Amino acid sequence: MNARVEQMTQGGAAAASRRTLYVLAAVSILLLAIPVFGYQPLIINATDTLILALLVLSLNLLVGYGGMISMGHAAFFATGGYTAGLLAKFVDTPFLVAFAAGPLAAAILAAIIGALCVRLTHAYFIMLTLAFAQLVYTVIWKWRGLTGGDDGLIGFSPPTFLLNNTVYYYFALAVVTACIYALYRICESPFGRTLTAIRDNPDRATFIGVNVRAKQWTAFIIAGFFAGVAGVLQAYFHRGMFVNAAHFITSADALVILLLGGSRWFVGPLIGAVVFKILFISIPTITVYWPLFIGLVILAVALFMPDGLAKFGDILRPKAIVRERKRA
Amino acid sequence: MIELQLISGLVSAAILFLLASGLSLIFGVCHVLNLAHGAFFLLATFLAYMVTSQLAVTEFDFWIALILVPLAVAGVGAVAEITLFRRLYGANILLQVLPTIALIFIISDLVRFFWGLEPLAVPTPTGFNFPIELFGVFFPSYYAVVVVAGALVALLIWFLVYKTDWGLLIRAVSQDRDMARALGVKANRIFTSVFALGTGLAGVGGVLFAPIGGANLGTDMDAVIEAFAVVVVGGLGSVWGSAVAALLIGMLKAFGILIVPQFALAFVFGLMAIVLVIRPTGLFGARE
Amino acid sequence: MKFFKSLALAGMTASMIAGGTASAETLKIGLISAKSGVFAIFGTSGEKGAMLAAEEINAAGGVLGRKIELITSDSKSRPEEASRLFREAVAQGATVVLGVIGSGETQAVSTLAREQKVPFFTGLGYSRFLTEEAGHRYFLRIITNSSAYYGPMVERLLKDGHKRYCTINNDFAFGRDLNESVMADLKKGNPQVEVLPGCEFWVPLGTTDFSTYLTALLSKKPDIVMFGGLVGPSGRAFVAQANQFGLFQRMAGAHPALGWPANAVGLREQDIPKRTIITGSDYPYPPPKTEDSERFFAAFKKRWNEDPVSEAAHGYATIQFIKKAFEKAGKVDREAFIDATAGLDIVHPSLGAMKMRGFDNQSTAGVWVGYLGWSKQYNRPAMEDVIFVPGEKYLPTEEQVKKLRSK
Repeated sequence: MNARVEQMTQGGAAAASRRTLYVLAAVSILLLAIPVFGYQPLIINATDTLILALLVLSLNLLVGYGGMISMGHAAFFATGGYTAGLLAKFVDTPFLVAFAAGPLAAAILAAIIGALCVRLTHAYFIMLTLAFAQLVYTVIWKWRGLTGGDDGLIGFSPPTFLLNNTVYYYFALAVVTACIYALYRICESPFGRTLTAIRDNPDRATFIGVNVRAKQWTAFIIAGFFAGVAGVLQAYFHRGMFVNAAHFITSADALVILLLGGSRWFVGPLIGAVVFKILFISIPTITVYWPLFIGLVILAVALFMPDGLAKFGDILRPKAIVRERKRA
Repeated sequence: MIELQLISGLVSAAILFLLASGLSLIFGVCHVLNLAHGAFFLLATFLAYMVTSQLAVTEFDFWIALILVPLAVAGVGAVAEITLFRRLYGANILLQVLPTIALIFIISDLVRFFWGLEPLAVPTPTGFNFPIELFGVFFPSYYAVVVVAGALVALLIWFLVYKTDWGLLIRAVSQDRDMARALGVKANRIFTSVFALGTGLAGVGGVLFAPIGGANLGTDMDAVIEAFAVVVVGGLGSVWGSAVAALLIGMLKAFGILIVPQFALAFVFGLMAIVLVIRPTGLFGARE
Repeated sequence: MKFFKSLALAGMTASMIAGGTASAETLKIGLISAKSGVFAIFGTSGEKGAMLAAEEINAAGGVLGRKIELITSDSKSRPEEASRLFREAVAQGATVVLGVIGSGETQAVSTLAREQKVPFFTGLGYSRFLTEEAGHRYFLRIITNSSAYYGPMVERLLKDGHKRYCTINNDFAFGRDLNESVMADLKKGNPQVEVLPGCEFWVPLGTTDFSTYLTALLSKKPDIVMFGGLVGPSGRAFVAQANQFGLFQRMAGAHPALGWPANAVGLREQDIPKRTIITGSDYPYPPPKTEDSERFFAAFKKRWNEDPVSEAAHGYATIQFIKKAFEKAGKVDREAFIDATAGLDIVHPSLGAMKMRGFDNQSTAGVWVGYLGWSKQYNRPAMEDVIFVPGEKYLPTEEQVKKLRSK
């Protein structure tokens, strides 16, 4: 009987991984083909979606895997972009150096803020992330001499070969894919498993000897780092960095995407980002009251599809494994 | 000079207290971080406009608004609790926070739909248009109304929470929900009534604020951020804490602009961060 | 799960392609307006003014035989949205673009306009640097340069002889720019002008509770309070509350832009102290009694059933200017268009005749100066004792612009 089940699930597992492979292949082809149509708006929006997807994926390390709701993630996104932009504009730094400096600065900021935040839990954690994010926002706004304040930081561009939208799209696709892979490995690694164990039962984790605070702090830094990468991609793509990148609304957008896509699956943020972008682009063309509709969508998802859209991906997995996941 | 700032700081404190106490109650009892609290405040300012300027029936419209509008806003809060938040109490915290964000979008866009984009003026109640002279400066007498109303509401809440059976149940539920349930307390009804009271308090704040600041879109975000700072400093769940913190922050703003005009607001976030780092439960919050 | 993603992308492609088709022989003009968010009140009216102009022009035969097709969009008051929408408009064939969007958004788009060599007009960006340090061939401005906005007011203040100032402004680009420039010019004109210590207040955008600031101002006892950087609900709230405190009985007030209909809206007659606040406007109420002004007012009122505000007039004038420039160029070509704009004149509904300067793409638009008052006829805040001041003498010279841009 056990052998039979094992045979079934093993066969099912093989079938599942074949299906996953097909889907991955199909998606890759589609992504690579986007600029083929030559339709600029699509290329531009796809690039923006990639950047958004990376930002939310980084947040999901904290929210989905770590169970820590951060309402201030935009601060790291902004820091990455502003650092790269400032270096490029004032110090004429070579592109690759600025590109590396952005995420590093974001990671450093995440280390500082994270050290203070992970000492708290639940609502207090949320509020402290919010308070720090507001401080970062205020600093960027006030320090006009450096950041341009609400005029924004402009006056820098990516290297000439990246000025073309199509080329930049492939560049962003390459960077984001690499980051997705890196995050995937992190999430599926022992570190990732420890993180989910902490999320599910922090007391038990402490009991078996896990240094909960240290692991959470590490997650915070990693998440900040990748948010910084997204920020740098954004800065160069838009030829500028603007203060609303650090605003609470940006953090809120990211959380909405997590809800839409589902925070319990690795790919949830990716799906959520695409859906959110479509909604965000199409609804305002119909009505000026788009916040109302987005709000209603959020409520509908929260009430009727709380696991998010990624749940539909379960059809790709054999039943036995699905049940296994649900128990965990 | 100092006396004047003290008095104007008192007025700010009154409004802040009304906002923050409701938020604090909702969190303390229902464990919901109601980010939409500012939106209820916003709604109240526009409803106050509607009663006093659009309907404009009697000379006492303001006082009518002061009674009816908070009730209406509390009603909206109760409906939101029953239809929305009640289903989400056990869920993960993302599912509790995001619907409040959704409510912000929905309420503020509905306000735009009904009242448009332009700022609207709300008249001060008749009989309070004369100025009072204090320390060589003329204060609108209406400000006295605000301070007195704030103090009265504070007393009322204190009475409700500490001197009534309902208040006893609230405190029981907020201290230990499961035990309270086990003892037969109908937690659901408590939650709804607390939500209604909390949003109703925001409603009172909105009506009192309207003759000062008018009804404007965008008030919701400013209001909720300041309210959170007060609640954090005072302690989530403590009404007494909200009162003290509201005074503290009201005075901080009033004097901050004298000392360092450029950074007065940054001080508030700074204070919020410091409190959360050093003593997360605030001045009067229960120790976890 | 990934299947969904690809489906979604396919859907997006299809809808975009469907939305992008349009007939060949139209003159496409991109129109990016902030219709939600902080600047919504300006963008919505700017769009209406532009649409009115386009409709009138099309009814009269269009431009060079083509009908104007406006590609409208909502920037949501976000710079990244504005820049994305600009690129989309250009991709959809827009020859020129007009933006009624905030300063950050304008900045974002201006950078792209230069890179892609697409003419871009601003309908809401008044900051000087947009046509000075950051100006370029493809950025054009029909509306006033802010120095022409406060210049006349500064002269008036110097004439009135105030020395002890307090300032209170919203803390954002326009507010800071204005405060800096006004106080610098005042000090230059009269070295005795001073801002009292501790009397320079900065309040966040949207602040509507000024009680603590009013008590502070009353304690400091300046001659005059300059609050030109208080816009929208802040400006309105400040005046109304100041009136309750009797502030303007103890000091004068100056605000270069309180006469903007969109800034003073919401003030009631009893909120406005009589003949006390010196202000300016680019669309004063009651509207000027010229033929163009009255025709515009009537047409706008009929079309949209609301009173026009400054941004509506700007949108209207800009579209008309665009038509004139294309006709002068003789063809639908961007470079020819830019060349044709140099020295071209246009009549603005409320600002009258003005000329576009070729070397910095800034118009010579002036401003109306007077006291803040009330109009019984239109039942809204208005201006009294107005005079019109042409803008040319307040604008930088060609050499000054060259120097600023070379830095």
